[in-house]
Amino acid sequence: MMDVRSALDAIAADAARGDIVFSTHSEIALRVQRMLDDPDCAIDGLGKLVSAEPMLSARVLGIANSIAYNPGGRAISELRSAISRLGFATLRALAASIIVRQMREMSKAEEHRALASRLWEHTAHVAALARVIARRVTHQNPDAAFFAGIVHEVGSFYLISRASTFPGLLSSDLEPWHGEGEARVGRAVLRALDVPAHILEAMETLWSGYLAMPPASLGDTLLLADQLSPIESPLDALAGMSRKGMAVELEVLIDDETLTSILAESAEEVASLSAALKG
Amino acid sequence: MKPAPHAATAHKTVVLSAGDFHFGSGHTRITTLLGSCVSITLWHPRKHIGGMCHYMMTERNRAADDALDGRYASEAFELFLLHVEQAGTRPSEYQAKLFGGANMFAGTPRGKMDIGPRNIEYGRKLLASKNIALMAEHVGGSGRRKLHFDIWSGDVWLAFPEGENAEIRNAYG
Repeated sequence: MMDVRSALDAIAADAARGDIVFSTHSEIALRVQRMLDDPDCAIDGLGKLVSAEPMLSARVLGIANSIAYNPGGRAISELRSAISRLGFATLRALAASIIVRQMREMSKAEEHRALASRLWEHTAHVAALARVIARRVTHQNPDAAFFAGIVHEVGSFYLISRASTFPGLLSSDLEPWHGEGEARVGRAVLRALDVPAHILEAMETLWSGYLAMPPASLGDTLLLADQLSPIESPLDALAGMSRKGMAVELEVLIDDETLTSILAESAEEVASLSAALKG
Repeated sequence: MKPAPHAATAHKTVVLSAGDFHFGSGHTRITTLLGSCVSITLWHPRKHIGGMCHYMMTERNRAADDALDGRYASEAFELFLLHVEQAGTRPSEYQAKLFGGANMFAGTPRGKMDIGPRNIEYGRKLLASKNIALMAEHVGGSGRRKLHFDIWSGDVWLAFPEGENAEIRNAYG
């Protein structure tokens, strides 16, 4: 019988020690983030650094040409212009997306990598939805919401990456994970990624599970995007938390509009953004 | 699921079970746990008064001398209207929010068991009949909802871990 709590304790302790080994792709993404922390950060230097990392370059161009950032349909193929169009906050989110996505490669077993791929699809949808919800519904910073969406499952990515060390863990009752486990591991991984305080605060709201109705904060933005995402987290399905197609009906009045009509209007934007992120 | 959001203000908590009703003012948090039942919150944005019901079914044949029974939507709504009038206010001055009505029998075909959706629809009609604005709703799906309504601010907090194993644990049980 698998002792889920002991396994989760060990995983949380490892994450807290900060010995998470990120891949070489992630190293460049981390350097991009550090460069963005420099107030004198110049776009030329950033362009050079981004061009050294093919996955990040592809993502930067893909997002810059998505409907969300390019409603006029004017395609660009040069990195420097793409970075100007996106802005530094979005570039930071995309660098984080490379790191989170690369966490899939930490898994040795094929089945775990498949789970992580599914988790990335969920992540991409939540990030795209969070950006639109922030802009149109909760009036939060869309870049912050996009970033929060990208990193919101890092705890689960880390859990999957460690699953082969604890055979049977993912087929056990994962209820303790959805209690405090995810928050403990998530906090540790986010610290290793130097995530800003306002994003951590939003994550605490997500882990608490309490959504304000109507939603207002950055945390609410994230929770709402998570609940509305058409692709569930595969860990929810493992833990018997699946919706099984029984979608929740969620409606909020925002000024003279409804949440439903806003999301319908924004469907194309969300699709283009999540597709570019999945890329 | 962790405890409810911390309220900065000292307050008393009223726990509603199925069929219960509370209407009041001041530093009161009304809290409840919902499955296929439905809760409606009404709040007066200027007077900061309001209440919550927790009904299980839509209506019944009620004898004239029977007391109002909050287990039925129609009678819970009557209770609301009585308190709204006693407070010297009108129903249309209130903001409503509606929650619950989950399908607790996931996998069963729609039909007689489908109490959740009927409770939701009935609640919407009651509110519309008195021109009460429905500001937000979080209904349907499968699993339990934990709800907190802070009368002093009108804030509503909702936790909804979905699915067959969905449980909500906190200080209120």
